[in-house]
Amino acid sequence: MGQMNLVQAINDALRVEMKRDDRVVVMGEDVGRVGGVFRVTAGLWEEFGDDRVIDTPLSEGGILGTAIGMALYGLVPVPEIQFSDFIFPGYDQIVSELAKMRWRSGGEYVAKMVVRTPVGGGIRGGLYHSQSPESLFIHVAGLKVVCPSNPYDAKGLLLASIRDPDPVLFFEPKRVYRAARGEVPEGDYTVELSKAKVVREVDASKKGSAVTVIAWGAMLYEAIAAAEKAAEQGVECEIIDLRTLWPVDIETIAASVKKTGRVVVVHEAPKTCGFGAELIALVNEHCFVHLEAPPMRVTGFDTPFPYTLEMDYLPLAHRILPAVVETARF
Amino acid sequence: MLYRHMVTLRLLSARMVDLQRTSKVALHTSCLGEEAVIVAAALAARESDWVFPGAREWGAAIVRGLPIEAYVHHAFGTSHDVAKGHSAPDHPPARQYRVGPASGVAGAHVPQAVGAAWAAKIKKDDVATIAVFGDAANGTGDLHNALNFAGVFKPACVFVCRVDGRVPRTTHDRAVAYGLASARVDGSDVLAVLALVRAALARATSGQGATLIEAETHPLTPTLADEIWQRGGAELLALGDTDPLVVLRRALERDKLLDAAADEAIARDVRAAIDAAVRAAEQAAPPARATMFEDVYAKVPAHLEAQQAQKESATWAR
Repeated sequence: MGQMNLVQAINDALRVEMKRDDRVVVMGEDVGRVGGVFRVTAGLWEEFGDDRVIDTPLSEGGILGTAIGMALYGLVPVPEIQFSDFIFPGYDQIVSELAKMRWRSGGEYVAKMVVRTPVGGGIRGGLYHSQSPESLFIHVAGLKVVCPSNPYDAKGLLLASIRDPDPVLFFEPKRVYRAARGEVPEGDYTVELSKAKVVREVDASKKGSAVTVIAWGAMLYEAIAAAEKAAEQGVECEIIDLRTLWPVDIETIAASVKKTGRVVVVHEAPKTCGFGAELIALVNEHCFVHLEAPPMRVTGFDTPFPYTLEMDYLPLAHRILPAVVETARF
Repeated sequence: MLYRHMVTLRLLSARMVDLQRTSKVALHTSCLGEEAVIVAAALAARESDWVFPGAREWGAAIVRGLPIEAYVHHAFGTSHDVAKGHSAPDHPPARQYRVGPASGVAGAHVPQAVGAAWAAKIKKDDVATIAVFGDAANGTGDLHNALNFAGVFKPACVFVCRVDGRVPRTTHDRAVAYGLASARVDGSDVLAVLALVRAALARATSGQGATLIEAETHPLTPTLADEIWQRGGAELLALGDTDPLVVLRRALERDKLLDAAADEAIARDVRAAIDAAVRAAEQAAPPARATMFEDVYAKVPAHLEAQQAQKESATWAR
């Protein structure tokens, strides 16, 4: 065990898996000699060489298109897209090719890979280094979507993602790349996909008066901060860290909402057709009769991501708190 | 075999055009008049090599060994279709024959061909890939990416582009820009295309990099399909000096490798095989409804099980 931040934990996961499985190759812009723009792949090129840690031309379509060909041949590429904002030149290869490969051939062709990419705002990155496009991938049949919030989960989820038979979009919350620290075991372990984690629990005696708050990635910490403030006002929160966004762990969500009767979803992405909309639809389908208040969303706005006013855009704790209190007192 | 493959693609494409007109299949991408490039690219590949066709190059899978019957079941989307009726016609899965997946998006398969060759290089396998595509792919970003990555990483890859004169030619200039070799060939002359692709493969597999081949073709109008299908073997070939079947037939007759009787016999055989395949597909059941939910993921997840259950609970039969 040792203390690691998110960057170190993901780096460690890549190293563990590249040692274990020689089919795994890392590729992307400056992932080799430079070690990645956020240093996530630092040291891998020195350890594994040119054939397994590949500096590519700056072309997301080329990275993803050739990675699919590699996967068809039997390698397991882990391409890095430098910022998830830059994934769109390769979006067609993900949507039309990667996601549909198994289905369109009746299971004959499989292109297994994990696309790693930093996500989210709060780093003064402006509109092309801050977006949260997870919904645009959740909506595409055939993809799994993962977003860890802490180093332990990041390593275990990445190892599970690489070993999973399906293609995975692995979103890394860059705002907490270095701020999120924690104990990370040495060597090999996995965190099961599609299992959410209750990170703050309320007991059954709070039935009907507490609030379930669903969050993931960097916004989990904002939800926790809001919950601490809410507790001072007598409102208890049960917080769920989704960890895997899709396929989502609806059982854990439903169990919590059946207990609390109230739910607030937090995400950085714009509100309209954001993942919160789907989560609330699922809550309605699974536990409508248990609801004591209208579900609420605290999200980014339906604007592009702003540079100067990014802290006004993000659904930070001070915006989550009134939503939680309003929901509790409905 | 070469001649037989040419006749197979000619007759099968003609039959499929007809089946599309009568709405037996939803669509068909005709290869009439362009058979030589497809046959040559697929035949040039060594057994260990992979061919990456686009939708119009579906015939590559047949040349590599996919039975006509499997192709027709796929076009009809029957319960015997390997793809379970999931994809549109002319994207037949043929992995066991080392044929890559064709995409419905023009050009999307070309960077994948580069990636597969690159993977082979990383694994130190003596395996090359041949990407076949048409003018339609030529303008896409995917093609740029494919050529760029091929120029940078030098995998054993050959690009074969059908051009039919409708789009301004930039092929040679592009090859130069990406650091690739380029060559032009008469796409009606299957023997010339075959020789050129083989030479490009030898160059690629010896580590000298990829070649971009431009093969000029003269597509036949699909309105000829009915005539082609109805007429006999020898007459099948009387479609002009640029018809690749005419060109090949003349060469074979000159070398006394084909006579009228053999020609008739091949056409008769192929026609019978196609007829049998179409009859089988017409009589086959559609895929079971549950198959729609299969292969989205390796294992059907809970949310798809729920959607399937909701569908099955619908009592008003369509």
